[in-house]
Amino acid sequence: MPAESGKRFKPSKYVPVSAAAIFLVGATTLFFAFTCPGLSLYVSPAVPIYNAIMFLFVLANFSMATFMDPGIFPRAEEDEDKEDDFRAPLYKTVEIKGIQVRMKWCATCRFYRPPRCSHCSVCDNCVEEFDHHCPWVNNCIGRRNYRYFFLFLLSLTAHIMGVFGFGLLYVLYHIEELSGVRTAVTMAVMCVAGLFFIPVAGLTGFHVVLVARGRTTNEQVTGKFRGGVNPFTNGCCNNVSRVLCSSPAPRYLGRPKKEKTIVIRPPFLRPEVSDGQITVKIMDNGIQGELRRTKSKGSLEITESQSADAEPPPPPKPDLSRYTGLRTHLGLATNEDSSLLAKDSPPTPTMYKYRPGYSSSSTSAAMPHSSSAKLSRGDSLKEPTSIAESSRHPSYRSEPSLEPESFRSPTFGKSFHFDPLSSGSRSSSLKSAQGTGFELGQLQSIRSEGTTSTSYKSLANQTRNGSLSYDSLLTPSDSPDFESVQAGPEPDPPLGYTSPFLSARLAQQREAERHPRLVPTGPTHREPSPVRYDNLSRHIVASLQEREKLLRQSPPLPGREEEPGLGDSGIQSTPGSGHAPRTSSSSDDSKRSPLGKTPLGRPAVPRFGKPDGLRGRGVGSPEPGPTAPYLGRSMSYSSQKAQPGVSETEEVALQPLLTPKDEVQLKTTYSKSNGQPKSLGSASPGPGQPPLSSPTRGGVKKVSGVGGTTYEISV
Amino acid sequence: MDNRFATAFVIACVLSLISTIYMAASIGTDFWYEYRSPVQENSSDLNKSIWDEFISDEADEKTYNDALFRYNGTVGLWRRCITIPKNMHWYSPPERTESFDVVTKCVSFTLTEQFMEKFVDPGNHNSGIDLLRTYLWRCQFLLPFVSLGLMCFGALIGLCACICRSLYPTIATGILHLLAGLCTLGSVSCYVAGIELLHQKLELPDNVSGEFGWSFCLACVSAPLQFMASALFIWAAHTNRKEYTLMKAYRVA
Repeated sequence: MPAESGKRFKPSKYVPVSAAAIFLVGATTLFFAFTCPGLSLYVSPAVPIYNAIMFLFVLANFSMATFMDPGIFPRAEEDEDKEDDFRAPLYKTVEIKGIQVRMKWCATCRFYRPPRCSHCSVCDNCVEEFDHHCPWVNNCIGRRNYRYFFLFLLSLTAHIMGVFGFGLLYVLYHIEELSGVRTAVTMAVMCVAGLFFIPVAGLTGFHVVLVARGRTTNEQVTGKFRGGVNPFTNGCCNNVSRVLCSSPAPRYLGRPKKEKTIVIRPPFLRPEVSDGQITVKIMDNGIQGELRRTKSKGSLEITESQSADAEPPPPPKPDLSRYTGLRTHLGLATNEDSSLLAKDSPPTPTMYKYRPGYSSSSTSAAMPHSSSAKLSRGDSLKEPTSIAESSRHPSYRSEPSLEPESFRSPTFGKSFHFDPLSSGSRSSSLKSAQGTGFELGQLQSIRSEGTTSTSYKSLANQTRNGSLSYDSLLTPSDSPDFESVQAGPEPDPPLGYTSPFLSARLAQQREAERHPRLVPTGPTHREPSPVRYDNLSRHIVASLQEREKLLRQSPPLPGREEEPGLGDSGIQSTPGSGHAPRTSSSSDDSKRSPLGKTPLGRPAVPRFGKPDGLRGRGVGSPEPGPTAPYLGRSMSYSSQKAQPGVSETEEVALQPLLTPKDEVQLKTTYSKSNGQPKSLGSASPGPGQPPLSSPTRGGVKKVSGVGGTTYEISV
Repeated sequence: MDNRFATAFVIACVLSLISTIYMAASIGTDFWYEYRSPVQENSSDLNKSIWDEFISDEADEKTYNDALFRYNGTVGLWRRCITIPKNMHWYSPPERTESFDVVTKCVSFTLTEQFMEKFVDPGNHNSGIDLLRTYLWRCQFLLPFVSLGLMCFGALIGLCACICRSLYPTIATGILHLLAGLCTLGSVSCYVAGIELLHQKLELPDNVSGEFGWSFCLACVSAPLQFMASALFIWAAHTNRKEYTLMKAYRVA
């Protein structure tokens, strides 16, 4: 079979190779037979040796180029690649060194040709790094045999030059014998050498350039990589060394056959071979590239999954921010709680005030009746209280135009207190009703909170033991006691004047109350003592002693108030040297605000609280001043309570009416005293006291002289 | 594969052809060994007598070798030649102008001479027979013909192989060419040995020099060509047969 195929192509296909062999071998042998013997005698015996070695080298390279496998890729079997043949696109692009190289589908061999691979129509095979099909060698020149072809050209060129040169030398020696046989043959050989030198030298030069550039004849002829960069070049030196010095490329044809021979004996080994072939074909067909693409897709999925993992972190961050918001809310809640605690503290002093009533049997019997009557009165009078408040609002509006001082907050307070007096008896009756309502509320709270009072007492004891500030507060109270002793005789005459009449009694009581207000502590101490000694029995004296004890306990109550206040200030304000004065001012404000709130209704409380706070913050010096009025208040309450115990039921009915009025007056006086020193804040507390006493005494005197006219004068 | 085997076959045929041509040329020519001698003058009488003896069939080895030495003789495998002046008139001396014209006279060796025994002392029939020189003389004449015959027979077998469309018989062609090469080498070596022994017996005159001719060189060159052709024939036949066997087995499987 193969012989037949060979013979069919013989006539046209093998002419060039036979011609090459004839000229090469024939010319050289004639040169050796006819020319070398003469040259060895005339020139040197080395001449035939050199020519022999060169000729052997030429023959060796010629043989290798002719009979060596150029690097043929085996064809794919039809059974395995039918599907690929139908589906495969004509071209597939591969990137080499950043340059796109096109791989073409070979229909004959049924695979994508690797880069630099081409199909030779003469040999009918795909050859790796196909250079050209050489008819003189009758073989393709590819990656495996290009080296030997290149060396064949180089050595052949050298050999032709040698033969021509030495032949010329021989002829010159035998010019006289041109008709001789040797000379004639030598000249014929020279002609053949000369004719072949030109094309052979040209071809050699062409291939030297290609080797230097790292290109193949196929690429040069088809114009590939002409405009751009050749991805297969590695520099001139590397290209030359790759052609001449690199190890021979592997042969692809022999392997499958060897495997097949192994397979033939045991049939069940075929699958392994087929697997190997499949892998080879996968590489050739570029399926691995697709696999790599899928791998890259997998990597993209991994990155996507990582991004998905990253997404959860952002959600918890806003959650944390939400939690921080909740924490802030919790903080606000704690503030509210502290404010509630402050609110709870105000009822405690009122509780202590009303306890002596419970201690006396007579007072306890009278109280339930009065309490029931008060409850009914309070319910009916709730509406009129709202009316009174509405009436007060327009008074605010009208006053600023009348008086320039009205812009100040203390002036607003004064005007409020005097308006109801000017209205007449109706206004006084309304006020008394309001007072009764408040008292009833306080009593109810006392009854319900009986158990809590014990806890308050224990807290008071702790505060006494712990804090030194209370001791310092007690010392100024001692000093005014001495002053009050000195001023004892002055208040006695007014008491004597009012005794004959009930109204006179009321007026006297009012005046007595007013005097101790003017002089904060002195008159209050002296007045109750003679009244008590004269009017009260032993039991009453015992109750008075208990009241004094309660008064001593009352100072720690504001201490309790101070604690939450301090916490609030710390939270609200920023740390700094100003903490101490701010905390002290806040504590004073907290002390004042609850006391002011209790006598009046709830809606009135915020109005008074706000200006008090502002005043306290603005001025720090009046700290010792406010302590005295607190003590004064407690003394006045004790004196008022003592009288109703002595008087009859009628007097009892009158007393609750009087108490709210006194309370109202007390508030007004306190506001005045507070306002004046605040206005004079820059002055020292010493000079501040006399101006406080002088204007108040003038007002009081006028009132004592003529009730109605004194009010008008002050307005 | 097929292309390579066919190419090898073609190149082997070319080499065989070249070697055959060279061998035929060397056998047919008379320049195996050449003698160079100066021109003889004033010896018309001697020339005549020597030539007469050279031509006569009864001349012995010494007689014709003396003539070869004196008159630029050349020796081939089957005949000897001498070159003498053209004018051989005994009655008048040769003029200078006429002395440059030369004539080559050749005499073939008879078969009896080719196979006649050589004596130890050329010219002396009673000195005894020299067997070594006798067999060398006979081999140098026969081996070239054997070599040529073997190559022709090999070519015939190759032709039959082509007719039968199979490369396997070419292995026989290769073997025959190998034997032919060996015969050629043997012939050349016998000739060289014979010449050396002859010159030991009959020393050359002082003015005469001898050297091998171009026919001898052609025979020397044809030997390696025959060896190369042999190698290519054997390789092509052997490898082609091996792969053919594998392909056949594969198809069966």
